[in-house]
Amino acid sequence: MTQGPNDKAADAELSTWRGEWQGLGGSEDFAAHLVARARKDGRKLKLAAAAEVLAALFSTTVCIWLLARSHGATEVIVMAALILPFNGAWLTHFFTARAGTFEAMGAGVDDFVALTRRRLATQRKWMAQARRWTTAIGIAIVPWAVWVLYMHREAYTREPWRAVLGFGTIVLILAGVVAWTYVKERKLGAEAEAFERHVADVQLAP
Amino acid sequence: MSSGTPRARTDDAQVTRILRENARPLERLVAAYARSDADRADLRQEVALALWSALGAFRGDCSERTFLLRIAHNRALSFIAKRGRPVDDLDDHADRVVATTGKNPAVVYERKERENRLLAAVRALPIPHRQVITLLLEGLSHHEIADVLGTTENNIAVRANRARAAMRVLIEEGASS
Repeated sequence: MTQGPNDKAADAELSTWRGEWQGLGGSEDFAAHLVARARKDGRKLKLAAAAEVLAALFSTTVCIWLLARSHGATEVIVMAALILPFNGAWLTHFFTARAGTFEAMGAGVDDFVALTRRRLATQRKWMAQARRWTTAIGIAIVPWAVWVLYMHREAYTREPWRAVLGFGTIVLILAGVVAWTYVKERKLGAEAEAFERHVADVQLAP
Repeated sequence: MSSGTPRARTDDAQVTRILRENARPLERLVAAYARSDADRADLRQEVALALWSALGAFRGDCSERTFLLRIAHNRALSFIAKRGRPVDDLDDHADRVVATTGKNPAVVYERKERENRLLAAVRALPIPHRQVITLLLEGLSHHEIADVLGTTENNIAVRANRARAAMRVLIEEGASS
């Protein structure tokens, strides 16, 4: 196929642009520094992931210990019935839905868009669900805490630090989880919105 | 936590080599998506982390360069989505990275001006066109671009034509302003 004058002009134009474009780019060698940082960041990600798993395992262990120690007291069974399924579901989600995050980076744009959209939607759903579940646990804990305080009022009056430490820790953990999931869900929402704006461009193409 | 954890053990030497061999194309790609020095450093690092984490899953179904470019384009898309909107700070990148081969200051200045216009035009393109034009300017064929972006050659051909038409207008606008 022979080229017309317009094709030749277009090729010359592209060659000029390529020459100019490929003249850009610094000569600094970032590679070793980038890899060192990536290794450090990768370790941080692993630690953060391990912390989440350990937190779930810790609360599971505490539940089992309380069940054994109270010889299956009703209030402990109710609490464990709320906490244990949540932990199980969270760990399942952790080891399945999020496993391929980085592998998706090596996919073509269309696949990447689909995978990212699914990841953002799943994570948002999980954050909302985790907050609702934590709120439910908090609501269930209040009457239990009042009942425990009432039953052991003499001991807690003698040693009030036990009440502050025990109930304070529970309040802090629950409030922390609710606040974290709220902030995270909002961030994911903003990211999903911005992603959809850019993706709309990609999908309209050509 | 929005990120998963790396699965396979990654060979640091291999990642370093890939990044070193593709340093300049990667730097240009980063400049096409991020304007400020800080944003470029962040994006560069995110690409390196994504490569470091994903390389364990690389099965050699494409070249390392294609794999890196895919990662870089995907990461850039996530990056600009996380930032919400482009940062409209001063464009000083081309001034820093421009190659100054000419001895005559007037020639150097003219060359720098043209490269500034080219980079500004690339940045002004919508993302689907920017993706194609950055790869086209790197010298990739339509087939290779389709491989990087995971789409068809026909789609790339149409996008490339539109991107080039838009580039012409943007460069002329830059020259006349």
